[in-house]
Amino acid sequence: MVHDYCEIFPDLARLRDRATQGDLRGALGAMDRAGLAGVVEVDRRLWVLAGEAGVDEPLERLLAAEPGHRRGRTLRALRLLVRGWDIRGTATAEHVTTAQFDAFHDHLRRAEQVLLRLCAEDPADPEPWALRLVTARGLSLGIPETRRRYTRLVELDRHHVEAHQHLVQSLCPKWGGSWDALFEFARDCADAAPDGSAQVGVLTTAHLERWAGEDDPELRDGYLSDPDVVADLEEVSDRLLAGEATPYSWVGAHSDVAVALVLAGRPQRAVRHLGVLGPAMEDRAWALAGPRRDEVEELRAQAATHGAYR
Amino acid sequence: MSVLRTEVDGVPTLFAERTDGHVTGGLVFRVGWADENLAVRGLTHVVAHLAMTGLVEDVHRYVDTHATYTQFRAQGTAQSVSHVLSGLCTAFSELPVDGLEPEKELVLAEADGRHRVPRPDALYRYGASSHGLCAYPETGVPAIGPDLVRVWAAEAFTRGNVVLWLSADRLPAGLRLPLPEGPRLPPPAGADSRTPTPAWYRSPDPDLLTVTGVVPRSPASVVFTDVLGAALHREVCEEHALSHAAGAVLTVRDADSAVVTVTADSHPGERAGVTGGFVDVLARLRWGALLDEEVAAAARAAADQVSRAAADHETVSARAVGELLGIPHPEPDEHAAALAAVGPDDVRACAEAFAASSLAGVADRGLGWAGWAAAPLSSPHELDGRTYPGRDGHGTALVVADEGVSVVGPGLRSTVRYADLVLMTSYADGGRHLVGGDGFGVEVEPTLFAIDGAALARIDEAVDLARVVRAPARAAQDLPQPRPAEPDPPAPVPPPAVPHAAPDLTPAASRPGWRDRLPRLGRRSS
Repeated sequence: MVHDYCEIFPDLARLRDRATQGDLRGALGAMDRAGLAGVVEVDRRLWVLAGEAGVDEPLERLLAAEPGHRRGRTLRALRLLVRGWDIRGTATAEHVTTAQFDAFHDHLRRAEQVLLRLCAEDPADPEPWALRLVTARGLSLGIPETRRRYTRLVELDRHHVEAHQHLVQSLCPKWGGSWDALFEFARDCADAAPDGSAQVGVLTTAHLERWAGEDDPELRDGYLSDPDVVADLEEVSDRLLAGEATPYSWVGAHSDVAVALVLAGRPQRAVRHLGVLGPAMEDRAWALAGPRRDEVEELRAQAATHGAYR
Repeated sequence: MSVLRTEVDGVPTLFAERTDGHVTGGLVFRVGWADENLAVRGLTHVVAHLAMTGLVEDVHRYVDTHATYTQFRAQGTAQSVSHVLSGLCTAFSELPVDGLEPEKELVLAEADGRHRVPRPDALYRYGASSHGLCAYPETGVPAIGPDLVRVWAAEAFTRGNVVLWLSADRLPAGLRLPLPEGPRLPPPAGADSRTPTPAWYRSPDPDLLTVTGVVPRSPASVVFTDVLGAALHREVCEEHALSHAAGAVLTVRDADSAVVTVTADSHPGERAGVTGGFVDVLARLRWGALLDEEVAAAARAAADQVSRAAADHETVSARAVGELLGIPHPEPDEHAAALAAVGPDDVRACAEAFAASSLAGVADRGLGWAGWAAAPLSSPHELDGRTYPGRDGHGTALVVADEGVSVVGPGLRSTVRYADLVLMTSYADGGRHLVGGDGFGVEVEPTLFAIDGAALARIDEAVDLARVVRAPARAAQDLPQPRPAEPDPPAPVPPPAVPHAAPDLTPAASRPGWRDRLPRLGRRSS
């Protein structure tokens, strides 16, 4: 199984190497040119760079020379966000220490202040708005503020896949939302997406969150195999396979629905998506597969023998 | 129709002609509640009331006390208005102090009937003095005596400290204004913020966002306020439907500065979005795409308003206030041209000044995420002295030191230094409520702390008598009682009644002498 986007996508590996090996400025410039040319998912490239501690030193040099460098500042904010979240960890709030929370919030506040200025300076750039959905969640600014930011963002980019995923997280009860609000949003968002787009997958994510958030083991076991839920998953499955895929986020969308279908007892459906994924599998979905990972591995092998990888 | 500058009986006068047969006139004095201190809070109001008591009843006249000026107005025939204005001037030299007690009762009754708006913004910015006094009720009124009103009248209600305005067919012949001689008073001190800004505090009304900031008094600040208010309204009322009403208003504070006040209410559950919308709107005005057209439209609207304004009695009265406060008043054409010339860079500069000096009252999570610091809820220091434990077993204690008093406890630290005392209410039952210039208070209550008569006497000896207001003993059921011990969990300790901190940057010795001297003179008689 390959979880690293740079292993899955050679262009992301080249971008990472260029950024960490002396030409951050060029890497950021290429990224923005791709964005201007209508190639979506600039944010995925940003997240890849922000996952590399090796960008810090070239980033400081770049910003010392050009304090106004827009993408450099965006990356600095995202680095703060990533480092802050590393400090917090992924545990539920009651397992996070006060010191961790303080450092987490401090990083997020610093990121937010860079981002809010970027939003003010260029209201047409969706990327800082998308990242502000994450700071809003981490700083607990509340659903109304998160939705305000989301509305601003979708005015700029209706199909910003990561933004929809961020809002799904914010609308979960663990971040102050409710299941009703989550599903209302997820259905509207999936309905509005073109076939093939990873945006269709927000409905899968919502079901997986609902399932993972269920404390009662009996209810949890039965949730994904409920006929209504299965019908939703099958619709997502059909639509994901029906149209042109999103450049990078298809990995997350297919991983989610493949794992959800396995958990829902629809292995043969899952095989189709595992065929598309090949060796790729997003780590979040893989974590959710838990004790059923062996089954996913077997199905993946089956997919490999029956059809070509994507 | 224009406003004519002239002089009547040695008093600067502004005159606007009107032809409908009515006469309106007013006297504006350069004294207001911001010139008082907390121990005599309400004094200007009482003096103004007292001066009016001897006047004839059948003329429409009233008085308004503001932060930095007090305005008397009368409306009627030329003769009746002249009569009122002359009578007032005479009254300041011979105040009918026999009527003082009933007037004090009237003033207090007026205050009781008025809805008091909490003003934490004023407390945080100014502390318990000058412009911060609007955060307090008229605490000084009960203790005001005849000598004090005479001294205040002689200092402030003088020929050098007044401007007359009239709106009539012509200047009334032979109008006399027999005021005592005296100089123009300087503006109240302490206009710099005591709290480092930008800062946020928890709004007393969680569904109302209030942000104040200080900007230079200029045509640009008028346009900035308009652009800010319109942009905020668009963001939170029109585009996101989070708020019912949002906007900004500009209030001239003195010759150099004005205060911009932003308010926005929120629909149920939408507070956080209103706060976020405000932050983004202000950020755009500072750093973003400020549209030429957006600025030009606001500038044109402001200029039109100036051009349309008639030289009626409201205009002439406002100009009289400006004259008194040293605020130049250009002619309408000139003023309109200055407003129309305001450009995006001028507005941006105002936005920077506003942001840097802003105090924001917000709900929930505060504004730390956007770069505003939390305004302090505790005094910066506690004093070292003899400690008297609280009677309720919650760990609170009173500290009586040589230089002041502190109350300390879990999550609580409030200190008043005698050198910075602005008011001590001294109850005959033994209670002593002290307030410092920074707005922090300490309530010394024998029912709450194991304090003895000797300690109370130490406090009484240390405080400046001019800052003491005596009050009768409270009924037994009105005395505060220790809360019963609740070992698990401990009850939250309330913050000080008027939270504020930061050292007073204006040492008492450097304040203008007349303002400090007055209450001392007056207090001798009480």
